[in-house]
Amino acid sequence: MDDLFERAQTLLRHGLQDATATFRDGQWEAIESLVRNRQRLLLVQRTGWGKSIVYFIAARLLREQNGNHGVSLLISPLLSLMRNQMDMAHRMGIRAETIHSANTERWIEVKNLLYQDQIDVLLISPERLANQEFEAEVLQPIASRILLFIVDEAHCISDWGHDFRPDYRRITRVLKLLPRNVPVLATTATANDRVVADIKQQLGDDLRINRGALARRSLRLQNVILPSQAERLAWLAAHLSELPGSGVIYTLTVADAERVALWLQHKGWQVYPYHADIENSERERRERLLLHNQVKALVATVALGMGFDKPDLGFVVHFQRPGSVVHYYQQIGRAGRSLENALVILLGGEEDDEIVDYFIRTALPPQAHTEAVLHALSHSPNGLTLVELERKVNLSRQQLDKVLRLLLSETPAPLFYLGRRYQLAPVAYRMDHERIARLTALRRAEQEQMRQYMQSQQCLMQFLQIALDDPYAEPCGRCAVCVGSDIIAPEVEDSLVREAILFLRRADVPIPPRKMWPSKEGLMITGGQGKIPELLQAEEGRALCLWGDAGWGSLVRKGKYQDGFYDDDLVKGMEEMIHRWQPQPAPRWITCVPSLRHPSLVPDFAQRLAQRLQLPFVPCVKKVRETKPQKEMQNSFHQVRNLDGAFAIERWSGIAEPVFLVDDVVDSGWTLTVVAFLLRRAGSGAVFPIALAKQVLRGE
Amino acid sequence: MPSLQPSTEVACLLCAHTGNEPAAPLAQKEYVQLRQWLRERHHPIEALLEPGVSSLLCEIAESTSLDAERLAALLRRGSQIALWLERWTNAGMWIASWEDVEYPPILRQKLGDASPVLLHGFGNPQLLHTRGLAIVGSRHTSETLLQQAYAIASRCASHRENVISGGARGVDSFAMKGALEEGGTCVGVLAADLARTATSHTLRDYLLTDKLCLISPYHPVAGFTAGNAMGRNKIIYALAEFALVIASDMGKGGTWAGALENLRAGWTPIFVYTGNDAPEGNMALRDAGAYPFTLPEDVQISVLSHLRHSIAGTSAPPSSRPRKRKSTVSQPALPLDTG
Repeated sequence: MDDLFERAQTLLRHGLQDATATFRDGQWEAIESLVRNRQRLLLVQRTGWGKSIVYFIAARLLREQNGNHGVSLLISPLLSLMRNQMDMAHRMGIRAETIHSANTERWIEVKNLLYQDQIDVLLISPERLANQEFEAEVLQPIASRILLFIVDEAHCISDWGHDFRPDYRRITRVLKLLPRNVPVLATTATANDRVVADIKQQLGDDLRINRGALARRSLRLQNVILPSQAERLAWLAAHLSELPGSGVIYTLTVADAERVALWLQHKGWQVYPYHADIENSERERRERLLLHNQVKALVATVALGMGFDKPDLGFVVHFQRPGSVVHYYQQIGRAGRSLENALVILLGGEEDDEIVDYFIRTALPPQAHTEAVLHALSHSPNGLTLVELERKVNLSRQQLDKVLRLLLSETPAPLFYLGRRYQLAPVAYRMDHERIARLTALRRAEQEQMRQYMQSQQCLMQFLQIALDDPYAEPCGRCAVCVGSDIIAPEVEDSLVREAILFLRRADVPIPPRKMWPSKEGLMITGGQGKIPELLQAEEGRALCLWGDAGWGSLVRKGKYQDGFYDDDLVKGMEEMIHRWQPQPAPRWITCVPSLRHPSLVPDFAQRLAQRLQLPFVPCVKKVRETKPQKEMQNSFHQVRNLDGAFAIERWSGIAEPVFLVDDVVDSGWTLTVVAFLLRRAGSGAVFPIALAKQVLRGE
Repeated sequence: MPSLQPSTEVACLLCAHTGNEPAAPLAQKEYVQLRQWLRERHHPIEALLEPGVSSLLCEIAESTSLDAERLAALLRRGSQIALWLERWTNAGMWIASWEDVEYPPILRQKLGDASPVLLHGFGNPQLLHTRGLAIVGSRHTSETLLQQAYAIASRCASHRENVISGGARGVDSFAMKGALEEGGTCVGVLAADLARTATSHTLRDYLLTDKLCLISPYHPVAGFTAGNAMGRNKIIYALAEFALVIASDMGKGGTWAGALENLRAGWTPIFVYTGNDAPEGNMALRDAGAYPFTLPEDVQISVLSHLRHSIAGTSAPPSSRPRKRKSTVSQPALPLDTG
């Protein structure tokens, strides 16, 4: 009996590099129930309690019990998690390996180790499980010797959990079909009672639950309400020095992460942005900088994941309010593991609701999209490849992906993927509207709860604990509400706010030129296929702002949808942008993209701009055929087809000079590409597209 | 899909062919032997899923031909079973073992320990409980005979009588088409390619509208072997109230062998087509004890009622010709089986 405990303790001491370390309350009990009793266990413990200690030691002990054969499978959603957890495992002498999209160079090695039964724990992301090739090549050969299933972020299993993660549905189905003699460990830091009950339903009634207090003694919480982005940027610049050590500033979108980082750099701070669009090795580098306190902060989206483990993380500031208490608790949980005091500040602003609304609305594909895909498949007896599907349905690659992922994750799935083709399965499909409505309502309720949190007059930590059904909730005595005064002053100076406004108004956005037509057919009427010859491409252009952003965004929107006329401030702003940019060769005239529907909106703007720049405005691009609004065209193929043959150029004497091509809102860029192509073919000089706003919104 | 009951979990662990198995899955006889051993010592089947199972396995190894290590390896492969099951159940497949409600009790009754441990299926399992007429025959036969198969199945369908067949090319396919196209129900017991057949464009709608059930005792991507073809014949016969051979080779082939097997084992009364163009194999089967059959012209007469009357030797309903058994009996005269 004791042998098992002795062995477990030895592993613990290696992992923590401490010869006298002992298990925290509940850790040994968890390990024992998995290894000795082969039970199924749900661990609900706060971040930092040491869930990974439990699963690594359990995995190792199970393998030793099995004559040193077999592997444990750990499924976890975020990349960052794996890196940090693996370091700890290696210190314990446990062989943990991962296979994910960013370490392909190691795949062969890891696979071989796996086939040779040399691995204790294989860590994969949920998406891997959905990948057919991965399953065939990696999982199937070892599936018969998987000793333990570990599911991290287990609240994702639950329908009442907070994420529409289609890949977890497959995990749930697999777990349901696991014979009862396979042990399962599910872990999460955030599961309220409803979620726990749901997980129990999925994993079986004899699921044991091991639950600890969620309170974080070292955190000091405060809310600061500053509606405008400019105010919040000013606040950060003013008070960052009062935040101890190095920390994380969370934003909701990629664009915001970049912008906030740029602003702080501008004000002399050593910070970097961190999000999914940054290349993986660079992300690792920035994580290391933060770990070694060589930056003041990383400005990050949720891409800075769960297991990122910096014990001395001094502060967590949220630039925008997250959509749920669960997300918020998870993100602040990273602060102050080994510190006495860590600061947690939530800055709430006016755009928060809009962004979260966008995420809620776009979480699931609309019914029309799923119907379109199923319809296309029902008319194709041999199925369709992804490219063929894209042709047949008017959906962007991203929208199509969403539909496919949703449909593939339904139980049972109405379609399947085989030999690179999607095909209908003999399964009747009805979109579960009730479920979707229920989940959407849940997310709105969570949003409302966060709004209440921002206004809370009771202990902030206790508010969060109660929201998570923590049975140990009580006032913390350390937050701004308990203490009765601000930990950090909420005020901002006017001059700093003005500076921030100017900064926001100078966030010029490049418009990269397109170099290839979207399909073999290209432009049938206009004529053009494959690569766009360099001489007929547009130059790199500039947009004044991102559609809807905090700088010029609202003025642009007002002009387009309310006034039918663009404010003179925008003309001035555009002029200043051009002045900063200095495109070469310098354009000598201005033209614009015409519209039959709104004949004066853009030309009028272009004319006033021309006046300010003292260049001639020549509206030589004519619309000869009506087109559907471009924003209804969802993928490149349809967008270009929509524009084909719609324009004609009227040559004039000065056409051979370089030119500014003006449009108000750029989305896919195909309109500008087609018009630039036509202008060049008609003999114009270099074409520089300029726009008021560029359309983009991404949250990772 | 709800999770499996313990006996099905055990059946899958020990017998399912998933590919990459850590040890050879148990054959029918071995599984039967194991179940018997457990039953005699009053161990529930769930005992195999308990943590301390290794001592039980040693006991089993001592008094049977089964190897403890092999059993242990199979019992340990839960994750493999789960992944395999998830993949197929998500494409619409269900799986049933002896204790499951989908598993037709008639198979256990008629086949006893020869009834397959695992049935893989697509479509409505209720159809397995409705009995009906099995229509079987060669893959290669004349156009006339294929049309007969079609017509007979069609007649069954028009009287709401279920048709059971083997899903092979030729007679089986024509029979299935005849039933389905007339709006009737059909059960196909496949020797191979269950998944491919179930996801084919032509059959999809019938599966979705509960008109068709496809099953196989072999795994969903099993390939064709003569052994498998023979192996599943008994299921076809056992499910049905009557069987009808449309076309058989003389002295060889799966249909011939299956018919003789049925005559020997007595699973179900068997008829053979003796009308125009009937090949000599059919005649030989009749001589061996199968009842002769031709389809009554009157469309009001259902096939099953006609067959029941034939066996009872009673006069058929008006406007049909009486049938007489010609050969010496090698099958018992069965009471009217209205099951």
